[in-house]
Amino acid sequence: MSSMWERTYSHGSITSKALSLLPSYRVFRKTYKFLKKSQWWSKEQLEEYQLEQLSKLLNHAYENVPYYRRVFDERGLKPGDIKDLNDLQKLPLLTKELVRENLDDLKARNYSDDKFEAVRSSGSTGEPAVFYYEKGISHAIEWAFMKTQWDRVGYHFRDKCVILRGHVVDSARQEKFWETALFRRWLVMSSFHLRDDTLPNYIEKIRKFRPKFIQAYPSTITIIAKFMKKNNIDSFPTVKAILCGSENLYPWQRELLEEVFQCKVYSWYGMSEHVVLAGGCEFDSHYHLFPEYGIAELIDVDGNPVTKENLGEIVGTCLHNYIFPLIRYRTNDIATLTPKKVQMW
Amino acid sequence: MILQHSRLKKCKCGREYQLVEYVEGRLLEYIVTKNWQLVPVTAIHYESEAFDNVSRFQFYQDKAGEVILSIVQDEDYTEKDTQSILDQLKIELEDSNVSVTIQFVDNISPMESGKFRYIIQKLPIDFKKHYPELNRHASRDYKQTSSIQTGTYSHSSMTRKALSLLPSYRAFRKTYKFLKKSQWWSKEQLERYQLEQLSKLLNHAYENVPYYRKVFDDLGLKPENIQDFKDLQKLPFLTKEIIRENLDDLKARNYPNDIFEYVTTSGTTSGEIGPLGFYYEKGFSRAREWAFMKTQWDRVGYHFRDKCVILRGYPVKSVDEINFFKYSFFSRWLILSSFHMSNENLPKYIEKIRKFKPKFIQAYPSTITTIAEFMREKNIESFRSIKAILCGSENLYEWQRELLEDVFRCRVYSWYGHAERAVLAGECEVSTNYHIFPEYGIVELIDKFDNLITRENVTGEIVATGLTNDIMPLIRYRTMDLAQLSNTKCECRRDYNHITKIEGRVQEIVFTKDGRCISLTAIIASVKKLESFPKVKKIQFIQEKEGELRIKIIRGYEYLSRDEEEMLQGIKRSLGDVLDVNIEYVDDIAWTNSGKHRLLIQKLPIGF
Repeated sequence: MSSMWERTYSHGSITSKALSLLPSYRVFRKTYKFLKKSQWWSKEQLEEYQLEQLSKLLNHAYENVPYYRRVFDERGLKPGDIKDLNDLQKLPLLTKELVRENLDDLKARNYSDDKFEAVRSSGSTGEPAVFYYEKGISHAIEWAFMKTQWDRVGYHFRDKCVILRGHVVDSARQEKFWETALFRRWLVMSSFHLRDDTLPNYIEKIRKFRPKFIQAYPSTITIIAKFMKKNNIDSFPTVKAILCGSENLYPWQRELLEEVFQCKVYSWYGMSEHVVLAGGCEFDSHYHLFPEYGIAELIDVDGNPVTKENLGEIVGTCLHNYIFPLIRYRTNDIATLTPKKVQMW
Repeated sequence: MILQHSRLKKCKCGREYQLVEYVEGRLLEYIVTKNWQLVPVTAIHYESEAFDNVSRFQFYQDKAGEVILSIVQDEDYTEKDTQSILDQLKIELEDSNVSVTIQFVDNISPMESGKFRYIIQKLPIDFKKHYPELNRHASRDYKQTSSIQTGTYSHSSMTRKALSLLPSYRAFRKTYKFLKKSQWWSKEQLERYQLEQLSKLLNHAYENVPYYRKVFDDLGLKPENIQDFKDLQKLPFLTKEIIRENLDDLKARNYPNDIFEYVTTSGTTSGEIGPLGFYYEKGFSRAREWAFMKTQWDRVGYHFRDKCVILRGYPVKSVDEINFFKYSFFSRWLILSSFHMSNENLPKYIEKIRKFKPKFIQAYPSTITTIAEFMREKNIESFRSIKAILCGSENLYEWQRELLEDVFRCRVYSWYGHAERAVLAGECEVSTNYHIFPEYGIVELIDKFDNLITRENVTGEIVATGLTNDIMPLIRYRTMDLAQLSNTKCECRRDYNHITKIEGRVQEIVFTKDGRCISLTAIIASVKKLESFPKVKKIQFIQEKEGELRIKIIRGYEYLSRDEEEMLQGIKRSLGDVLDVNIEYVDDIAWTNSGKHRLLIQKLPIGF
């Protein structure tokens, strides 16, 4: 699951983390600008773009990443043999185990050591996996995508935001369960002290802060919503949307949040491995897959593409991480296909 | 996380992105039953009443078939909540295959990442190993929605139909909660509410429904010209003919296409011949209807978890005599076929019901009458567990009520409503007058000169304006049902209007080769779900000889010869080979002396 602020980074202050983007600001701007335009492209344009990016990625992986060089060589393939999305199936799947065993061989040789940033995925199923981001750049690109999504509900950087995403707040030991960050624009609240006796303080604090948005794990904000509903506590009139990610947002949660906060509940699906990202739009809560972000496939138990209305596992190829390319990465997330609608899946 | 591709091909936001729709939970978010069936934790409805006083909860499982539920109580929590939670879980965990132990804790902490888990699953659920089981859940959801889309519920899955409500559970809860309160409002409050809703409906119809825009424009009216019930008469009646001709123009333009659920009436209501097609709002219409039904049935003490026998014309899959029943809704419902009630079989029916120990019987009056007659004739003892018989969809005649009360020694509850959802009226705790739900629709009674009837004991036609279906508004809809008004104030203290002596929904009986009686409503149920049925313009059944049925049909222009084959097959599949059916095509179907269409011309003497 994707999280803007990986907990691995929570050592430094949140503000400094946010500001660490600045050196890569140009990357952010470029990606953001690109997405502003590309989101309105036609299906053909988008596919063409995906193939172009895929071909670049495969060439790079073949030249610079030992693991993939081996994969290609063992099969007698060259990157040029993969001309379309069907051909992609000639390459093997990349499991979490393979990543663990080939961690070093998956690192691109043309990047210097200090560009690698180690990340642990939360590993909700099984052991946590380690992989790498490109320092600064990966976050900047991710931000550009996130910002593009949140634009759909009118989010601005300068807007006041409550953050409830599993942060440990240093001052919590002194019974103060929050701290402000990013020049008082953000109110970061601890997820570890939500109890019935502390919740009134949380709610009071949020009300005084007058946020426009709440970024939260669904499970965390649900606790607050349930408490407010039960005790007939008024909603926060300033809140324009709840931004939910990193966990499933179940229909009953969405309904509860909409009822209590009387505002839009926006949710997205992604993962820290950055192979798939999808989110709702202005009108609709269906997840819209970003084709600019990655290539998604659905496979059955035997590794074949799912054709009928059966379950399959999501396999993703990240199009923007060159330092540690993930090609046909098995996410362990499962999905089903609705027939006749989407050709590729 | 399980993802599912969306039914939507393209979103109206204009992006050409692929769309996905998540369905259930992550691989480990399932509860494992004793025989390793998987139930998604997310299928449980935590927003239901049972969980109202729970401030936090978490499941823990390390043994198949056993689960521990940790609960943080809030101050309102009582013993009773424990029972309702266990009851609800029992239903939602597909009955007894999981034993639930509740333990109370002071707090439930998040995981290291700060996220809260609804289940800690220690059993190894594996994608590969449990693929078929997981698939069962994933495709359930898909198939369910696809059957809603075509409006053809498979009779084989009542559970699915019952569960199809769940996505709209909140709509149900909201309506239900509202009705709990509004039923005690004063007449003035109720009228104010109706006028408010009417004004909303008219504005909506004017803005979004082409047919009504035209109606208003033709009359030079605006919605605000209609200020009270009297003004409503400025608008013309909506007949079944008009609906048939303007079906598309009656659809509200501000609803996306995939929300429309196409439904057909059986055409059994009143003298009307031939099916009528119209639209529900997918999920929500049914949820709201359930809320009204539940409110009614509350009056005789019905709970969802109560065991119920269903005798409402469902052809149980096989015509094999041994399989005249099936269970559904997690074994809470026993569905009995309406098509196998021969004298040899009736003892088996009765035996089956007795063993099932139902609290309620939901039935067509004609069907349950067959059983009651038989029981009285053979001096068979009643079912002691029965609290009430719930009768609907057909007229309940006084002699039937007396018979049923006599045989079953319990309350016989009946209601009046139709698939078009413009009017609903049911009995109360103390009286058998039909109490009209003012929250459901506005009811007028008109005489044969189309004038409004206000006096008691004068028979007139029911004209209704539905207040709950914005997706296809029915304003001043002529139901072709006849009734009388009653101005008595009921002891139940509800300030509702009453109707009595509803006529027009005549129950009809057909005789089979082996001497059985089958309700026509049930025969129609067997063809109603077919694709060919909507292509029939008018239909009439004629029986002159036992075991033979003539069907007269006025074809619609889409009707093809293979539709005949499908209809014949459909009847045969449900009934077995007990009826020789002949279809003939005519240009016109005659009216009866009373000026009404008769759906069945029964030339054989009916002796109850």
